[in-house]
Amino acid sequence: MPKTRSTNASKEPSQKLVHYNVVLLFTLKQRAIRKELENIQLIEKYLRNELSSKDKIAFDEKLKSDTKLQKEVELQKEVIRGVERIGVKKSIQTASRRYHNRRRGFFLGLFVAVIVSGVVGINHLNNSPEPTEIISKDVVEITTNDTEQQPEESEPVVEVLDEQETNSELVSLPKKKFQYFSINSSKDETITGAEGTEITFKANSFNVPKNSAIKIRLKEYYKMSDIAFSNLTTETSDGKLLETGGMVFVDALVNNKKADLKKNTFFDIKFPFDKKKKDMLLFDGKTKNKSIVWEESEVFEIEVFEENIVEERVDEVYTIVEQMPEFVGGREKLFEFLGKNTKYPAGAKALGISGKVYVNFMIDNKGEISDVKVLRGVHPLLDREAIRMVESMPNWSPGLQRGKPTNVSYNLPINFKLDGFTSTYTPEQIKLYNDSLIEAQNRDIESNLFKDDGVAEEKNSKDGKIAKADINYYVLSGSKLGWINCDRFLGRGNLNLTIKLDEKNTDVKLIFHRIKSLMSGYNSGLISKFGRIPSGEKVTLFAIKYVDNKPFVCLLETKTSREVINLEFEELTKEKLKDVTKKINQI
Amino acid sequence: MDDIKIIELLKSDKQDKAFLKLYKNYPQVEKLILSKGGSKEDAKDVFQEALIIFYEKVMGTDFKLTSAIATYVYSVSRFIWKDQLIKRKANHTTVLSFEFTSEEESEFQKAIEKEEKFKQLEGVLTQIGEKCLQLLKLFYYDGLKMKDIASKIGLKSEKVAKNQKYKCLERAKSKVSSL
Repeated sequence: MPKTRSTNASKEPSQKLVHYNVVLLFTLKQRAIRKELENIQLIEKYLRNELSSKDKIAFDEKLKSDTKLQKEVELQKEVIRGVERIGVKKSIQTASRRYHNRRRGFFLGLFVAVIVSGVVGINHLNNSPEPTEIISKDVVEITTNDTEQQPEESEPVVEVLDEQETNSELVSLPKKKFQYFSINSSKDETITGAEGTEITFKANSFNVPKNSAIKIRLKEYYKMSDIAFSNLTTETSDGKLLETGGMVFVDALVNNKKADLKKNTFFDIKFPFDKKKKDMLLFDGKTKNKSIVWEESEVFEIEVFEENIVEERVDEVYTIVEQMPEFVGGREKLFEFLGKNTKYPAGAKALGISGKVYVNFMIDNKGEISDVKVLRGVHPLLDREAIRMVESMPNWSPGLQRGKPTNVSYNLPINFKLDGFTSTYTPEQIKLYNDSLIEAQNRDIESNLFKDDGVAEEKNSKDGKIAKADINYYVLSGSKLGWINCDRFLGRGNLNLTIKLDEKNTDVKLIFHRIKSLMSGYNSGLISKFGRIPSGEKVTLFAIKYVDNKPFVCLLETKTSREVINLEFEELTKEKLKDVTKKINQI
Repeated sequence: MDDIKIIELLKSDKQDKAFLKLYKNYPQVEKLILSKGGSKEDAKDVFQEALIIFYEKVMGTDFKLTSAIATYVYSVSRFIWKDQLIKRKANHTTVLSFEFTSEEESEFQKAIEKEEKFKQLEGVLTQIGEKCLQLLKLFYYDGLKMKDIASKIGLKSEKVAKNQKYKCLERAKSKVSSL
């Protein structure tokens, strides 16, 4: 089998490598998260006095010299203090409400009535062609997605809105329209959007009957004008700033009803790009203050939680492992072992089944392997083979904590490919794996361990076999439909940018020049604010307001400073819209 | 003594009951604020603030009851309102009409500054998401068991809730560290 390995590798190296990187990413990221969580768990036990006296002494000892740990402990105490305070305040508020209600003889029923009418009022506002209308369409989609309303209810609303736009004389901001694709639920299908997004769904990924006709709806946002004219931002739900590599909305319908992905099912998504940037990650969209903000995709969380990587069994062992266990002879030997010993199940071959199986197992303090289970499987045949292979491995050198062997839970992705051999690891790939592993260990968790495939490109370009299409994409996997964003984290500054408004209902966006990033202003009264901005940064402000239902816009290029900014508006005409769109896209 | 009972309640996780009892001091405070240029809403806010400062005092390590709770809460309320008036740049004579001993002055001033810091902390914690915050509050403040928390917020099992708790702690820590 090693003979075929090299020939195969030169035949189609790119495809494998790209996927390989994605696999690698997941394991590394998982490990980083797991380690962080284990650390938190240990500190928690320490603070709650739940450690055994032996462990407590060891922890105290470590705490004396380890300043990083000291900081972590302080931080965790601070969090708990804050949570308690929030609790106290809630209690006081409850007491206040009870006291004042009693005093005035209020009835609970009255409260309910007030709240309900309040909601109606807001809805009414949303339906009126006030500035909120700019965003109403996208908000409708989000609700569909989040509250699992049936799309047929929301769809007509969208269409009506579109009609209104075309019928009226008014010029308004252009909106993205859905692109529709039909796929068969029981086949591997790839769709390609007009702007280049490629999404691949594996066969039987959806919770629908076999051979269902699925309609995929897609909206792509790559151009800055598209992003600025929608209610999208490049902020995370916790106020971090992101640089975008593209945003899409995607969901699936069967007979006009929303179709869900099966639990723990992943799809591959490729975002095209022009300039390669490192550390791109997937994010899921959420609405906040009427804008969509982002949360790092829960791809990893699902595995962390459902598979219970942080488990009670770590009770008796140290949870921070200083040295990870190792296959005797190192990773190269591990790959060699996998390559030699894996037998492609004949049944799977006949059925044409291939893919990556994620195996998790325990390496105990003697290096023995136990508790082998599949985290994410492909097919029972392949899953079984992967388990068999891991179980047949010789003992590893165990992980060490303070020089003592300890139990460690370990993840290993095994790639089954249907071209005569199973392990697709070439010497270059092994080197790549080693390099990225070292690099990943050196980076902190925040930077998130994404090793882009640029390295793969260089390493293999001598073969001249790489299709261009494979290089110019960010390839990521997701498990959740809805709003998806390909982003990386950026640092923030400490400047507050203030903009004076003459109309309350003004929507202000801040577009950065240096990076592909956009923020939405936070309005209070006649002021719109942007918090924690770097100072002296070249930016363009885009604002829109409505006077008597007529849209007025403002586009202003400036440098960020403490000075309060005044905006000058012009009525939005067709020419103006063209001009604004062009200018925004030139940024 | 009612005061001692209130302190016992506060310390034994029956804060809701204790705070409701403390509200019998509210009318006095409301009268004060209304007479010093404030509204009923101001009075409500000031009183809540006073209660939390009192709570912090009780939970502090060196707490001793040196005066009647009613007197303390009233004095703190006065101080908070004076502070508010200064911040709102109210006219001088109103502000000057509040007098405190230097001891009171320094204690209350410290308490108010501490509150400002806490407010920041609470602010960032609300960013970890409602569900996370609820989970952490149920555990650390209400002292519920993980099993009960799981069923209360609709998580599959105690184990899932536990793991989720660590995840939420992680999120909260990263937020707080940015302060």
